[in-house]
Amino acid sequence: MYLSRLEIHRFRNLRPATFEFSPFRNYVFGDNAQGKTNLIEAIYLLCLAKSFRTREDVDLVPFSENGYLVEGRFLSNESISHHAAIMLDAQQGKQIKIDGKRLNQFSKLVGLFPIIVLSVDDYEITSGPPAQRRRFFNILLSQCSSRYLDDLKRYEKVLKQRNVMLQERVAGRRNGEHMLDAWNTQLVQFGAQLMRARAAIVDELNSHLTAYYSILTNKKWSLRVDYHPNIRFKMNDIETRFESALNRVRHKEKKQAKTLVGPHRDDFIFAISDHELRKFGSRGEHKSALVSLKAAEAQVLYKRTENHPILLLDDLFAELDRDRSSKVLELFDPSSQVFVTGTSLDYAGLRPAESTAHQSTFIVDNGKINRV
Amino acid sequence: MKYSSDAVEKAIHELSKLPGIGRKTAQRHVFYLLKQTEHEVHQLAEALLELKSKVIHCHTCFNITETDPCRICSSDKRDRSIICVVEEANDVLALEKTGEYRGLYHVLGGALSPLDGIGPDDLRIKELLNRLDGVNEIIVATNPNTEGEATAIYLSKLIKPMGVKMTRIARGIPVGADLEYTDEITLARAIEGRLEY
Repeated sequence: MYLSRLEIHRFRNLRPATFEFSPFRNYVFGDNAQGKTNLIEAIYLLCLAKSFRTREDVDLVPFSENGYLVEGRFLSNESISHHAAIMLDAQQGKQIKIDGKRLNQFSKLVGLFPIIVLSVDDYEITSGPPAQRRRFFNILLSQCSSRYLDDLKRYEKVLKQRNVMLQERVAGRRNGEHMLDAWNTQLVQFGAQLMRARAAIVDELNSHLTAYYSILTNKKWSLRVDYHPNIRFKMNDIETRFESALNRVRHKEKKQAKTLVGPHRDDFIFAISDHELRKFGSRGEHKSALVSLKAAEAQVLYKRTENHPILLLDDLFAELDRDRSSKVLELFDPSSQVFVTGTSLDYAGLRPAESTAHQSTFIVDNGKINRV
Repeated sequence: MKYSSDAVEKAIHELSKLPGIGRKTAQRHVFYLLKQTEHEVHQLAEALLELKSKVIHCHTCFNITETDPCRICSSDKRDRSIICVVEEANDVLALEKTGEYRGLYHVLGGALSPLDGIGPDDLRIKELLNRLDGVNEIIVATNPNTEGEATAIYLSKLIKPMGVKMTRIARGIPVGADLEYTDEITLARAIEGRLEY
């Protein structure tokens, strides 16, 4: 799947324009604060109905407007074309249309056009709190299977309901245990699905991660990620382990009035040659690890969906030395569509050829984007 | 902006309390009503008043009715050994349209939802427990969302030990829909809930 055409009507600082992209490599260069990341963000929005930079849709609206509108045409390997449009306006609110038909749920967009972004905020994945790592795995797994996203939404709803109930201290009341059971059954049911899916995908990810990181570092180091579930389990006993964990914390939960065990407290630990990255990694190591992670993510998505995801690599070369910079693009499958942004310095260093059938180059200047 | 007539203002205020109706829509309705004949507006007002004066809840099943007990509860053609538990009176209407179900109903008046402050005491569960004499089976037909599911589990924990058979309506592929057009999630859950021949 690749994005063949993008129409920006109203979006952040970008001038209204239509772009034709290469199915393979697309370079976007420009000085800081000209709109490179905005272009990447518009593509991401079209694929996942949300931004990777902000939770607020109004942030995406240009100063003089009261809404945004982005359209695109995607082509699949079998040359099937899909038209997608996402818009926000004062009267209708937020809408997504696929081939002219309005989607009744934004979540139905997830997975139609698989996408991966590498952005400056991704440092949080390897260096930030566990929630950032869970978010990374949730987005990947949701794009692999709409079932995962559904299980996740249900799990989060049950968790909220259960926490409110614990706050109301129902446990001591008549039939209080039955009331807890009513939510426990579903907490275990949906939670177990999440845990199973997370354990399986970590194994798949590792089979690519080590290889990619060793390409970047000339085989000097190896990178892997380990799943640290909040409840220890084997694949066939998750439900019983989950139930006994709930029993074990029963009294503590009543006191603290919140759900203390479950996949909402899972973590994933990245390590370079057995040293935990979060504690010991340099800025450059984090960046190399992240690039390898995204390349591995692309392979997993491809294997699972038989569809090459679109890759958005924002400020790819920042913080990589010359050696790693020269190799980094090798990590990404030549038949997948990749968008790379960089500064004018990168442009001088990389010297990409003029636009050909295999690559297109764009220069961004004050919201105006020109093809070279 | 407020209107110079208090009557207009009051009507707008009352109409905008209805679900799905904002102030703008309420304004449109009020100006429409102003153009109607007095007779027509009277009929509307009367219909609304009758809702409250004539429609009551059946004291047995809590369905909406004009007679107590309701037509279903007092019918001698219904199977009194089965009760179908639903969230709202609307659901009774939907099930009755099928013409398939011949048992009785029980309307809970909602589903368990701590987030909305709804616990077992806010639903008509006690009233259901008082009806179990001579009942062989309870069919739980609450919605297939997390709240409806929690309600179903709670009821089964409560009632099963009393020796009444508890069943849950099946969920899956809508009849008349082709497999290829059914969304993946419905399909996945339908496979999970598959039945043996």
